[in-house]
Order: sequence, then structure tokens, then C-alpha cells
Amino acid sequence: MEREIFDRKYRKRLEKLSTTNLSDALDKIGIRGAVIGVRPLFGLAKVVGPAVTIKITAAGMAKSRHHLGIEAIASARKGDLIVIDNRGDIQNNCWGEILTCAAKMKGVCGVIIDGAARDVDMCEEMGFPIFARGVVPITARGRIMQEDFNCLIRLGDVQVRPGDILMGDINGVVVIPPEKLEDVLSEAEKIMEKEELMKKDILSGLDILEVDKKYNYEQMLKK
Amino acid sequence: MEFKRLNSEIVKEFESFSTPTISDALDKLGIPGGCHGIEPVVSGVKMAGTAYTVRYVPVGAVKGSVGDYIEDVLPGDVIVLDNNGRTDCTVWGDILTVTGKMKGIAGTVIDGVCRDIHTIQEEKYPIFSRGRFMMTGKDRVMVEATQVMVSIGKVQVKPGDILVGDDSGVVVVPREMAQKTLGIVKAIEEAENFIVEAVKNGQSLKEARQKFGYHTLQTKKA
Repeated sequence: MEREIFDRKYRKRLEKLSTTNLSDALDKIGIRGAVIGVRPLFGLAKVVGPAVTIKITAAGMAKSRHHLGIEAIASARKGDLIVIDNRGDIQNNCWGEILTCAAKMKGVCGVIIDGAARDVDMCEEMGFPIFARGVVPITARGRIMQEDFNCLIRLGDVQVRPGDILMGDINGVVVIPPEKLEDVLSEAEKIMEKEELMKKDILSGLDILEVDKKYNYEQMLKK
Repeated sequence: MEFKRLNSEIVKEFESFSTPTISDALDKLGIPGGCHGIEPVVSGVKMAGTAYTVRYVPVGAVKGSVGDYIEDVLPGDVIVLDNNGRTDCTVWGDILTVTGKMKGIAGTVIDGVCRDIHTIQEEKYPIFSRGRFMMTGKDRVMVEATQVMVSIGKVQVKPGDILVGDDSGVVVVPREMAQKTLGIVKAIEEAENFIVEAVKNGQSLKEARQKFGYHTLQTKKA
């Protein structure tokens, strides 16, 4: 999807939704997109944007040309999200303060890591959202390395291609294939509207059993 | 990934040593080699061979299959399957076991799980994995690439690296360090044999260990 089209047509619509709306819409359409266990390390920030992907692997005799993340950040555009596949490893760090500075200067809106980060206090101070599985103090050097970037990766049990649309908020992370974005968005908007009406009815005093019946809540995601 | 195949002689030499001894030699060289969390499915079998690697990713917008790579694997190779440590779907079962055995493949190492354990045990085919499960990887994961760098139990494995497996687990010897590692393996084995002999001949373990430098056999030189 052209960046200009995404920014003009979809970014604002996405920002009004939550990962839960989008996850429900993905379920309804039958796309696996929710990532389990990757959460913001601080705050309530919501990030959304196209993925710039990084694949991490074990360090060994084969060496990486650059420190991890450098080339990916250099290739990123304003509004992108850096997405790192470190196989859910929470014992090794793959993001810190220096990378945050560089990403921030590029206008990258956040980083999503299937693994761990460090310098989290400084990243919070700089207002750069980090989504990860954990925090560690140790360096990546000599332990893990970048194998490739802007390649097909895995985030949780979800496939991520460069350019796939990701959203992260306090509830977690979802991945949306751009070719299904319009369908997912319109489903998610319908779901959100319906839930807003339900909330209104409940808060105005309508009995929850009545509300359930009125909106057929359990069957809401039936195709 | 281009690489020069090691001759089968050196692989055979490694086969005669245990994974603990090889791991100690790698420690001495400062090379990470032990695949943490990867255990034998069949006990009492030994495996040694050069790596044929396969990397999996989840099925998504890009579709694919669990692969038909086995025709490309040479007899004596070890099939190395990197399924990212997933324990919720399998990438190896009875059909591959029977085919692998028939083709003379040395064994299979999985950062993930396998199924059809009965057949694997019956065939005494060496498999090392994170465990066992029955749900298929079909429609869940796909081969992303073969003969690329992968990671098994947090250890880097390149096509052609030597993998040795026994009841203690799996150890990876980088192909470019094979000769150097083998020399140290032999020295450690020799020292340990001397210690056992000395103890059998009535020397105290403390003395025997001291004499052959037991506590620093694996220590990396500063």
C-alpha cells in the first residue's frame, strides 16, 4: 500500500480504534492477527503504522555487519513502526536508548519486540513507546545479532511482512495485512459502534440481560 | 548459503566423543555450542553429522507448506529444523522418520516439537527436540528458507556445521572451528581418562584432578 494512501485514508480511522476492536474484526473475517504477550513497557500509548521488520538470531561465528537495528532505522520513514523478531527471548536485549534516539529523529512512532528491551526509563522520558515481553540490563553484543531486516518475520505466532500494518496499545498488539485493511477497519468500526450503543444502554440503567438480548452479544462475531 | 563441506572423517571422529566433552572444548574456545532445552526423544542413540537447515515462519498472508526438502538432504547430514521454539505445532512425524531412516540421514534436531513418537522409537531414529505434541504444523507454519543460518536452543547453526547428539543433548561445532575443537576434545578426553585410571589405582580424586588440571580443562585462556 502506498504510504500516502495509508496516511491520508487509514491512519486517522485506525487511531480511533483499539487493538481489541481490531482483533475482534480479524476474528470475524478469519485472519490470525493478534499477538499474545507483547505489551507496552510503560504508559498508555497507542502506536499504529507500517512495519519495518528486523530478524534477530543467535551470535556465533557468522557475524553481522552492523549493530542490530541500525540499517532498519536508516531505512524507516516517518510514521513507521520498527518490529523485531527475537523469538520471544526475554533474556537478551534488542533495543535501547541510542536506537530510540535514532528512531525518534526519523519520526518512527514506536518499536514492537518479540523479546526484551533496556534503557526503558530514558525511552519513556523521550516519549518513545516500547512494546516488548520484558526488560533486561545486558547488552546484545556477543549474544544475539541482526540476521536480516525488511524480511518476513514472526511476532508471537503471527507472520509479519515489511509494510504490514501494526497497532499496539495497552491491550497488546495486532497485525493487519494491508490488502485486508479496508475490510478489517469497517468491521472494527461496526463492532466499536455497537459496543458504544451497548455501553450507553447499560449506563442509562437498562438491565444487562436485556442489553445482551437486544444486541445478541455472544454471537456478535458470527460470520 | 555457500559453504565448503567438511570431510566425513572429522564428523566420524566427533561421533566417538560425548557431547559433554565437546561442550567443554567449546567452552575452552569461548564458543557457545550447547543447545539449551533440546533433548533426545529416543534415549541411547548417538548422532553426528553436518547441518542441513530449514527455517519456519507462521503461515499468514504469505502461504506455504511444511516443505519437501528431504530429497535435497545428503546421507550423513543432520536435518536442523528451526521452528522458533514453538511447542504448539509439529514439524516432524512418522513419514519423515521413515524417509530419513531410509535415506541414511544421521538424525533431526528441532527447535520445536515432533509427533508419532511410537514410530520414532521403533525406528531408533535420533531426534532431539523441545518435546512432543500431536497437532500438525500444516496450515500453521511454513518453510521460509532452507540452507540458511538458523538458531537452535539459542545457538547459531550454519549449513555444514557439525551437530553431535547423545543422551545429554545436542552440541553444535561451527565448521570453521571443527579441527581446532577436535584437538581440544581429544586432550580433555585424555586427561579425564587419566583421572579415572588414577582413581582406580588408588589415588585420591583430589590428587588426580590436581595432577591433570581437571578444574580448568574447559577454562578459556585469558
